Amino acid sequence: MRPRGEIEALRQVTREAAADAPPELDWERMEQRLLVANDSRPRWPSEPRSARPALWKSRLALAGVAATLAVAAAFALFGGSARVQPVPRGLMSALPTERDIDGDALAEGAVVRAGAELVHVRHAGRATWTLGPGSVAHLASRGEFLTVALDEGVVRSRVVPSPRAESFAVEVGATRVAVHGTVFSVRRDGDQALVSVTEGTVVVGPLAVRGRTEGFSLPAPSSGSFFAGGLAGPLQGRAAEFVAPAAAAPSPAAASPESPAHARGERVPGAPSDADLERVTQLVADGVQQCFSSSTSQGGDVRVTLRTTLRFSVQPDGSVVSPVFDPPLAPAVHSCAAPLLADMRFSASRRGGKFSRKLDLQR
Amino acid sequence: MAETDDLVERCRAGDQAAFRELFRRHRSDVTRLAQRMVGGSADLEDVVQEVFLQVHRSLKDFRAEARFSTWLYRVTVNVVLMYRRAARSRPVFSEAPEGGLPIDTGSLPDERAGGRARVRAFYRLLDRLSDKKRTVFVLHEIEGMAPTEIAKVVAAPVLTVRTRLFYARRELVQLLREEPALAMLADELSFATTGTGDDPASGRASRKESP
Repeated sequence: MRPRGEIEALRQVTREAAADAPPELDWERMEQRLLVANDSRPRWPSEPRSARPALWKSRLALAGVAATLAVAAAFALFGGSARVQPVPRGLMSALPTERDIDGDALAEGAVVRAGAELVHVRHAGRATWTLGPGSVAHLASRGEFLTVALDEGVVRSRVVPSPRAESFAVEVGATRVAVHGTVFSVRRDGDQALVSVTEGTVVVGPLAVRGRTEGFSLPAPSSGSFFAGGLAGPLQGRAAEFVAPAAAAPSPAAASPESPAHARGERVPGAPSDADLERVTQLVADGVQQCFSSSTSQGGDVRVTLRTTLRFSVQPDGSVVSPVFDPPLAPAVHSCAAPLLADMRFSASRRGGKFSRKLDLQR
Repeated sequence: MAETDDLVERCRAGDQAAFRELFRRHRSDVTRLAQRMVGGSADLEDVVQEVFLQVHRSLKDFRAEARFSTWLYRVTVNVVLMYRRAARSRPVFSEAPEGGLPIDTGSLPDERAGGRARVRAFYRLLDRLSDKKRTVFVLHEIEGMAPTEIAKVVAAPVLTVRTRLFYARRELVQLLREEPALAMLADELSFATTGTGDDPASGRASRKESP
């Protein structure tokens, strides 16, 4: 028996899909970003063209400057202020050529130079660092603390999350940028270290307290410029320095992206990114799991599993409306989880969207 | 055609104005194909941008004996497949983006809503096909490309393309009832064909009785 109805239905819905016109995207912005490829100035294409045109000419040493950036990847569970700006995928490939180097085959002290191309240095399972055109760096340490010394230019790093603090670091003169899992770039600019955080949160502090860094906090997406009076001297910095030059507040709070992303001249995605969704909903999922564990009675060896779906709408400004659990949670668990829902916040996007995530709660 | 060739040559020589023009001419085609391949994903803009970055980087590899549009489709398909592979490694969210689908102004409101629901369901079904089958199905059934041209896009023999098409259609027909909106459509069409609302067997009987 031929499934006539199904065949006809497939034909019809295929016609309906074919009749759909493609959506209009922001062509102007895309065009501008694509054409950034022709600019030979060694910078990341996502950075504003007008920002600090003379920075790259400076080769001044950073003696006397000390800072440490450490990722606060385990930022407070209920903080709710963490935002993730999607990594501008593929932008690096806009530049003419690229080169890959096996970082694990490099000896300590090995110098890596990028000519007109991008150079990706990969350390399997640990990190990938990419030198921008015209940049120079050397592998300062390949041991427990994988360390790259940036001699000139800019390096962008994607670090595999690690339970160890400061598993990867970029040094700029005496400045140290140490992380254990995030995406960030560091640019050398005379006596300053310019740091841009794409994912995660970094804390900037003096080198003297390596591994237990206290200081400026930069949540993604934000940037800052930092310099210090000595290896253990006081750190000075201005968050959001080269993202929003007008906002020169000497407080890490300035980096907190309370203003819309488009107002800061950044690219605004159509909808919250998967990374953003994953990060925020994972925080909620972990919190709800704790609520479920603590709010339900223990039943000896009986294992209780509850499956529910968190549904919510994200507004263009990143705020969340109408978060509900379907099926609903027990009143005690829901009361416990309510603050988590209230704190949900995403990066700004053009149209927001409706999302859901399945949660498996176990006790 | 010659104009496109000229643009391509100028792009290869580093003429950014030519690249801009190439982008403007082909961005809608790329967007349309990418949307159909990724099923209206919110990341469509990233995919389209990546396609043109790849074009910019790979134009030197483009050989003039092939049609530029075929080569561009090939680049688009490859970028989409890479995107999908990357997406598979990320957590899955069920999404219903607001305004994600274009508005069809030619139907009544309930028909529009029904049509949108069906198209969304259709893309969910497409998503369940393998990359190879989905690619040839989209290129042939939605984009209207001939199997010979698809063969060039996917770098496979024409016979292979036809085989993938056959299995893609068959799989979609088998899966169709798992989507309520499409199952309802199938019932409606079955009813319209047979003149009854019952099962296909009774439909055959009524057709036999017709003159």
